[in-house]
Amino acid sequence: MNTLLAKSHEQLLWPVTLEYSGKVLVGIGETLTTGQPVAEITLPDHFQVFDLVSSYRIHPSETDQYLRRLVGETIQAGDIVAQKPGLVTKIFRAPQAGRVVSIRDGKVTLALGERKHQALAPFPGEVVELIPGRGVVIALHAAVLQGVWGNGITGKGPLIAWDEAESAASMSGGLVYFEQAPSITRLRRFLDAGVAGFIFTTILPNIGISCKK
Amino acid sequence: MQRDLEAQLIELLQRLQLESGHKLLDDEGQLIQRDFDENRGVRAAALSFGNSRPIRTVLVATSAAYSLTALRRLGKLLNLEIAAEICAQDEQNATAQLMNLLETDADLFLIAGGTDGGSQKALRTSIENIRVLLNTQPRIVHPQIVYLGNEALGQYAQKELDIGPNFHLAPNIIPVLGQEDLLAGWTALSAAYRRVLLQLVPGLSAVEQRLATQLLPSELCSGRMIRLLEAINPSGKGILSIHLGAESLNITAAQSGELISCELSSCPDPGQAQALQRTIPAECSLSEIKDYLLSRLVYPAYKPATRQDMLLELAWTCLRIQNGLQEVSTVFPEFDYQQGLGLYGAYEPIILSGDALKLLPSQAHILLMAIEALCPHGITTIVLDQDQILTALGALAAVEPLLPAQLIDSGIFENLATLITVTGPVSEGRKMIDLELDQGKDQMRGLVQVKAGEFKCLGLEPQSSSRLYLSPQSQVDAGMGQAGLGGWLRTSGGNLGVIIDARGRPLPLPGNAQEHAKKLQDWLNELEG
Repeated sequence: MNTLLAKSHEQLLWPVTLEYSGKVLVGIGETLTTGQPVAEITLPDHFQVFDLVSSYRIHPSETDQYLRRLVGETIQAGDIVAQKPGLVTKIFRAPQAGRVVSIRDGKVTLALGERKHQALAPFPGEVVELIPGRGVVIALHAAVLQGVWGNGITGKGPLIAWDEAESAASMSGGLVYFEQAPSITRLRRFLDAGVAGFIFTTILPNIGISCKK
Repeated sequence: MQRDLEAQLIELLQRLQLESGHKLLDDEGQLIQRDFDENRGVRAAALSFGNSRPIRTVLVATSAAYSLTALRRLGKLLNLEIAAEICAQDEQNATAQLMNLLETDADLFLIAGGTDGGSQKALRTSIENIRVLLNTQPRIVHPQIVYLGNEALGQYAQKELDIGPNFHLAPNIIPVLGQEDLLAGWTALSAAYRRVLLQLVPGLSAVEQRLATQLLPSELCSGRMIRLLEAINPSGKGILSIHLGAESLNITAAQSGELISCELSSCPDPGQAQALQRTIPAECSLSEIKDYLLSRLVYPAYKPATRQDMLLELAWTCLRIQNGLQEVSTVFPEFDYQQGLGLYGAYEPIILSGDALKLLPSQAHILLMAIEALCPHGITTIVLDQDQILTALGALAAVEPLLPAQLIDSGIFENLATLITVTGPVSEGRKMIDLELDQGKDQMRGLVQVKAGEFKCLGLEPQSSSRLYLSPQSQVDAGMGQAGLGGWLRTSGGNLGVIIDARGRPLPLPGNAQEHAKKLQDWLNELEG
């Protein structure tokens, strides 16, 4: 269970890591800005399995005769992966750029497209530790405010205490702090105005459920 | 900013050392395990671990009717979240299957390939797809593969996947068609689960090293003990254990050597406010109920402060158990529970444990809640495992097999009550059963008559032994084997005595909150004397 924490001038060590084993893009001592990628990995976007045996009506042991690519080879869109000559030549072309990742039991598996995963610095700071292949630990001096509950979504912006005299639009982009539980209507108005997040001292159950959604 | 697990362990050991007066740690803070004697150190340590966060799991089976059903049942033994179910024979094509696997982001794969000697082609495709997935997705948490037959492809899968200790080969859980042996897969599944936990829970491997032992899933530990208790149970009935954690619920039962176990996430859910409102013996608005559930969600250690909070906690605990029992009976029909009508399966004792029970104000409240949740039929005993010793014993059984048997003989559970449920087509107020209580030579025999709709408590001296003669009306079932059949019953005095529940099944709870509250108070008064 989280406990409420409020500290000022605290050194915060914050690990920022990938869920995959990738490449760290920054070095120790480097100063980071908010949103800067610290590690990344490029993964295939999707796969395609082509069954030579059933498509070419051949025996699995004959597969090698018709393949034009090997496992691990990169391919470009339109490259011939397999070809069966004959009266009507049957050709299997790569639908997209990618790589041959498997040839087994007469089936060719292609990893196609790219999906980049990045670990981004959530706030500015200095890199104090490298986690090989995964990311870094960022250090900064800051005030720490830890609540007991959050909805798991991150937001960033200047911390603003809510003031009835000010309009919702003037708080756009900020993290708005409420001393009293606001109504759902008021919260929606703030969200529509582009507020980055809310900090409550207390919330009503229906607001908690809405925040969770 | 969670506290380090290893630091918590040392703190616990220091406390244990202080309270027991037995030196456990050396000057460097290490557990004394080598030069132990009767004043210092331990011969061995065991570690059980209950994981509240479910592990994302993919089930790969050859047929929906057999292997997938068996895998679902096996998967219920641990706290798993089934991210996808792949039926190799039904899958449209290999590409769709591979993309399906890719989206799961699973940490655990359970593969069941049907009976030994069964078809292999579809399963080979699935194994190949898993191989491609593992090779192209270099995840930090290495997924674990548990292969549970068919045996002809076991070596093939191990060689193809080539993932070393992340592959776990188990005997076939469906050796022949129509025969299921879930326990055959238990060891391999536990080993895989352990390896996932060590990767997901920071500090857990340091705890293992400090204790020089390997962790066991707490579900496995309690399951092991339930099976042992069932094997030595003189009544011949099954054993049922219900563990209510703050965010999870474990229901484990053993009957005729077979294990039934379900680990379920059970967080307070404001979405269940309406269902809860129907059962609370107090006037509560939906908003009040949601407020309470949300507070429980945010603060798992929240303690009921008012009478209304206590009633809400009572109803919420009851609903959690009912939802869990329903889930168990869906996956394990042999468990013999029907929602509303109650638990028909013969289990004695029923063991209750967990931190959630500590939120209820008295043992009478716990007993009433348990009866309402379970609606048992026939005769049973309800006991409390207050210190949650069952799981600890199950873990210790691996290093000191005699210890659990010795401790069980010494009476480790707190006996709450013996419950006799009498049911039959008798209108309210009419006689259902006559009872004759024989508490020994020096005591007068007591005669009690119980009418339909009544809830009676016969107070007995705790730890005392007595005999009870049951004489039900001709169509009334008192749990003696058939309607109208009576006989002598030996009971040992629980803290709350012997309870005769003639309220009927399903339990007729008043729709009016005020009447419900009055009934609840009457039943509590009956229990508390």
